[in-house]
Amino acid sequence: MTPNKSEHSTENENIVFNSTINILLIEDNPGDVRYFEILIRQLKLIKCELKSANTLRSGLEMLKTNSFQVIMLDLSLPDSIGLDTVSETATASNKEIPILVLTGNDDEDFAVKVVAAGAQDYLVKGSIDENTLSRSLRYAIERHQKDLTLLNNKRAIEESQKRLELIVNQNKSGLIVLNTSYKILFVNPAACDMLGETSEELLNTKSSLPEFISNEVVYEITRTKKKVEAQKVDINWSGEDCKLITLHDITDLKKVEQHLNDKNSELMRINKSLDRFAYIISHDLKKPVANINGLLGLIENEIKESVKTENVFKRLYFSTSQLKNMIDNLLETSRNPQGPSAFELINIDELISSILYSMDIYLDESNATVVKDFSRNPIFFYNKQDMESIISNLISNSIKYRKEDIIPSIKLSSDKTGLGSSLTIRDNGRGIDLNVNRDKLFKRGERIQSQGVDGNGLGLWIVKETLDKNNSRIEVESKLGIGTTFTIHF
Amino acid sequence: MTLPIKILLVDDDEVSNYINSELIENIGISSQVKVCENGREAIDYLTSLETNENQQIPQLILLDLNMPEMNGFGFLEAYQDLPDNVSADVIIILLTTSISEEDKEKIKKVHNSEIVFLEKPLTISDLERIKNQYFIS
Repeated sequence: MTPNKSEHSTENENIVFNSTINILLIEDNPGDVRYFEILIRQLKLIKCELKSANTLRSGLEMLKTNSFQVIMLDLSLPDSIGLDTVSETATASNKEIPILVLTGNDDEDFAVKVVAAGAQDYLVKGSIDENTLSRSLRYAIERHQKDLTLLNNKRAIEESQKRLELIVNQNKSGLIVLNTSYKILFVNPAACDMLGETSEELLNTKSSLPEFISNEVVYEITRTKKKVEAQKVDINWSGEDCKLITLHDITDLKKVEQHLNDKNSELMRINKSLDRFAYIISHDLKKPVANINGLLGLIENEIKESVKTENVFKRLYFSTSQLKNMIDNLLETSRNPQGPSAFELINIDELISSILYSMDIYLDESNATVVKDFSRNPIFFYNKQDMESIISNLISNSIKYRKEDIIPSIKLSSDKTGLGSSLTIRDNGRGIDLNVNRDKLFKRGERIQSQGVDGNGLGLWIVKETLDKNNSRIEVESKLGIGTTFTIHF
Repeated sequence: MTLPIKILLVDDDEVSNYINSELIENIGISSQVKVCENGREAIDYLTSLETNENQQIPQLILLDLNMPEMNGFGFLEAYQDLPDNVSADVIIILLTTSISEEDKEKIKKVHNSEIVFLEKPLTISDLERIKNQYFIS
C-alpha cells in the first residue's frame, strides 16, 4: 500500500499520480465489478489498484484496515440506498477520501445533491470508459485535495482569529477605534470597564474622550473615577481613516504614587523633628555638664573661702540629677518598649524625700512648698527607677507650670485602691484646658499652654510610656487657673 | 570704663547665675550684680534705667541664649532700640553651651557694637581677660 501524501501537502499533488492509487469499489453487481477491474488495468496515465466490497458495511469495514485514495460508490447497495450511502461513507472516511458516485441516473439536480452529500463527482453507468474514468479519478483526487487545503486554511484563519480576539478581549488596556467624527467603531471589554459603559452603549456613539489626546496628560473618567493615560495612533480600519486609542488604567499607580508622596512628606517631617530633637537633647545635656564644670571650678580655684561649700554641693547634686534625668529621657525616647521591669518594695516617703532633695534648688527658686501624706499607703511594690522617673517628671511639671502670682504648692498623697495602690500629685498651678488638650497631653513633643516655660515636651510622654510598660495607668483632672491633679494607679 | 562696674546677668538657669555671681564677687570688679531671668525682663529693666537717674547703667552684660519668653537673639534685637545712654559703651558677653558659626554671623549682623562669644562655664581666667581688655582699675 502506497501512503497517500496528498492529504498532507498540496505541493505533492504531482507525486500522487506517480504512485499507485488505491481504489475502494463498493458495488454489489459482480458484472460491474469485473468491468471496472478490467478498465482500471487499462488506464495509461495513472496506476491503480482496485479492491471491492459488495455491501456498504463491508466496504466501510475495509476503510479501517486499508488505505485508499478514492472510493467508488454505487448508490444502490443491499444495505443502503440513495444519497444516505454517500453521507454515511463520507462520515466513515472522515471526509478524508474523495468519493466517486456510480449511478444510473444522469440528472443535474441529482448531481448537485450528490456533491452536497459529500461526493466529489458522479459517473453514469453505461457511459464510463477509460478516459472518463481516468479523468474523474484525477479530478476527484485533485478537487478533494483543494477542498482539504481550503479547510486547513479556514481552520488556520479561524485559529488566528481566535487568538487575535483573545488578545483584544483579554487585554488589560482599553482599545477604542474612533473615526474622524469621533464615532466609536470598536471598543474592547477593558475600555468598556474603564469608561463605565457597555459596548452596546458605546458603539456608534460619539466618544466623550477629549479630542486631542496627549501622552503626557492623565485623564480622569467622570463615570468611573478611574485615572487613565491615553495614546493614539492612526490606522486604516477597513478602508476608513481612524484612530486607535489605547487606554492604560493607572488609578492604582496614582494611588501608590500619592501614598509614597505622603510617606515621603511624613519622613521629611519626622527627620525635621528628629533634627530639632537632637538639638534640644544636646543642649539639655550640655547645660548641666557646663554647670558642674563651673561649680567644680569654684571649688578648685581657691575660692574656697568665699564659697559656701554646702551651696556648691547642693547645686552639684541638682545638676547631676538634671543630667541623669535628661539621659533617662533620651534613653526612654529612643529605645523600644519592653515589658515590665523588676519590682521591689518601696518606702514612698523615702523615695519622695530623695527626689525632693535633688530638686532642692529648683524648689527653692520657685518658693514651692511640698506637702506629703502617705499615711494611707506608705509602701509600694513597683520598679524604683520607673517610679522615680514618673514622680520627678510630674513634680517638675507642677513647678514649671505654676501660676506666677502665688506660691506654688504641691500635695503628694498615696492610697490603696482595691487590689492596687495609687499616688496623687495635686498642684495649684495654671491648670490645663482638658476639653481642648486631653488628647495632646501625653503625646511626645506636644507642648501645650507652654508660654514662658522651658522644656521639650517629653515629660508626660515618658511618664505615659513608663506606666504603659508596667500596665499602670494615669488619670488627670484639671481646671484652668485653679490647678491640676494627676493620679497614678499602680 | 573704670571699675568697679555694674554687671547684668541675663539667664534663667539658677546654677549658672550662682556660678557667675561667685566668680564676679571673687574677682572683685563689680559694685552691683543684677539678675534677670529672660530677655524681656532684661529689656524692661534697662528701659526703666533711662528715666531713673540714681541707678547705675550696667557696663557688662552676661547674656544666655536659651531662655523662655524672649531668648538671647530676641534680647539683642530689642537691645538695638534702647536709648543710647543705656546702651552706649556696654560690653556684651554671649555665654552659651554651644553656638554655631551661622548663629554667630546672625548675631554680629544684629548687634553693632562689641560682643564677646564665650562658652559655659565662665571661668576666673575668662573674667580676668575681660577685665584687662576692657576695663581699667
